[in-house]
Amino acid sequence: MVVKREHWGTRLGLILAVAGNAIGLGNFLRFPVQAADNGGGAFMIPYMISLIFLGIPLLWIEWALGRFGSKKGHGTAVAVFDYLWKKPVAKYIGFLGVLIPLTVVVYYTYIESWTLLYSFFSLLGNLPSTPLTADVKDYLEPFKNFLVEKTGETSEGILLKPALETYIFFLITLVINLYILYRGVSAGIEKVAKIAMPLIFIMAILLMVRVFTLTSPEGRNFLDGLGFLWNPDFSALTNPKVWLAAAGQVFFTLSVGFGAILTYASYIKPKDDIALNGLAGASVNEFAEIILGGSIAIVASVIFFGVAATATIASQGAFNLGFMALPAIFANIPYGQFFSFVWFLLLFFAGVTSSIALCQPAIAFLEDELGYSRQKSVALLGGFLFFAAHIPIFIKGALGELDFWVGTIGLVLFALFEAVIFFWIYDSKKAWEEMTRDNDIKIPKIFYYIMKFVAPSFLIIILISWVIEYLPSVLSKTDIGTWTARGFLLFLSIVGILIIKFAWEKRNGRTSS
Amino acid sequence: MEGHLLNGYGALFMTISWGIVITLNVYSFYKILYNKSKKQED
Repeated sequence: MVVKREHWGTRLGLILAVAGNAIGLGNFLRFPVQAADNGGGAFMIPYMISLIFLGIPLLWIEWALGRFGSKKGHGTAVAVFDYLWKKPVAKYIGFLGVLIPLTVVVYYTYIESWTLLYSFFSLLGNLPSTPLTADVKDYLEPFKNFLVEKTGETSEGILLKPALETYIFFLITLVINLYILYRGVSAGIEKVAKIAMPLIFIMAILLMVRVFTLTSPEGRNFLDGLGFLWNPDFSALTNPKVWLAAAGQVFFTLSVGFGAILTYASYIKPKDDIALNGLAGASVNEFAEIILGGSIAIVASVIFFGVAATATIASQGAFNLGFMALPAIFANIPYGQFFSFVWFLLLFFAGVTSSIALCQPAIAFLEDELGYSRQKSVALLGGFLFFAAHIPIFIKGALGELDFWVGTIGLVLFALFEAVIFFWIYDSKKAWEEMTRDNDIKIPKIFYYIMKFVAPSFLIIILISWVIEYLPSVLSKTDIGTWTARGFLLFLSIVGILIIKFAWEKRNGRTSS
Repeated sequence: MEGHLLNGYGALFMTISWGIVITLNVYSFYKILYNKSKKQED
């Protein structure tokens, strides 16, 4: 049975859905920490260069691959790569475009559920509350204990023991995601994007205004926070790690390399624009990142805790900033309960619009390649996510391991395959024609060379440097949680390969050509 | 360390970055609206 493919209802809905895919927790937590850690305002030089030479080109490549898939009636890289590269291996490489988002969503939904739990607890006034003390570490301690207690990280042995409410909120989050997906592309994803995206912007602007009107007893105000984030340290520009950090941030923020943009773009009509849509989606995402994301968490932290303490908090990771420092600040300002609720609800909405995008490649794969109905695909996905999520929820070390292989290395690898297969294996001239046809704006010719030479080189450098930097320490881990995650990934890959083999054989002769 | 007010360079970098982002948004949505009205006229 061939399932009729859906289409986006409106252009605005498509752009908001794509922007919603890109706008996630990273815009509000990862970006300000990366910028502050890597030269402040000077970080924006490699950031903007990476945006032009890596982010936008890869974005357009993924959009073009999606529109190509739309023409053929397929929404994942499995079939798209198979059409572009006449080798049997192509479709198996394309499975990365399903495996990566599917695995990321296994743990992303869980983290997303924390934001819903925090939001709910903020509303009820059940987050920790401590009087101001001189030592920041003591002040943050109850908030750290709260997070650890909810996620069960204090438990001994290999098993985590999260609180019952954490598990319940995970189930609620999963059901919300599945319901949106069950409603479909236009009535589900698009409709949610049209509601959630304006709400995200309203809530972020509200928080930004509140942060900009905060002052500390020592007299610090938002100008101190902005100074910490934006005052440039030009010496950082000579450090290659700063350039890699900027490239990595651009890569993560635009959500390229997940395969989700390809799937979303496959629901446009075969003669619709991709250049302007891609640019508009990226612009909305950058607004959320540079203007809103850079004006809330880290600015509030500097005002409240000072520069030195904020640097310490930020160096311990973006999560400490979002889940400890921010609620700690809100606990001591007027109407803090409300602002804390808004902050976590904002993160939840940003999370939902991303997680539904990450789920869609798997749905599209089941619908397009196996001919399953949407209902059956969502039910299968729901069952899988429910069982698979127990790995990061209950097994210590599994989340970090999964995130390394799919959420870090996997993304760069898949983006590299997209660029190389499209511009080197398929045919660069045909790829360029495919990309530049039927657009509302002209993509400058220079991007042909950027897409063919610069972006893949950029990706290879990032991949090699990350492998050198992170792989030895990752491979040295031998605990059960780590091996469970590796085994899970291997299992998923084998199942995926078998399903693809079955699907292609079932089509009776539709081999790689 | 605590005296870390936004300085001239910081303000310049912030203004340029915000300016690029706002310009990109205005340009892309202007083009979308322009194309929409053009298609309606046709």
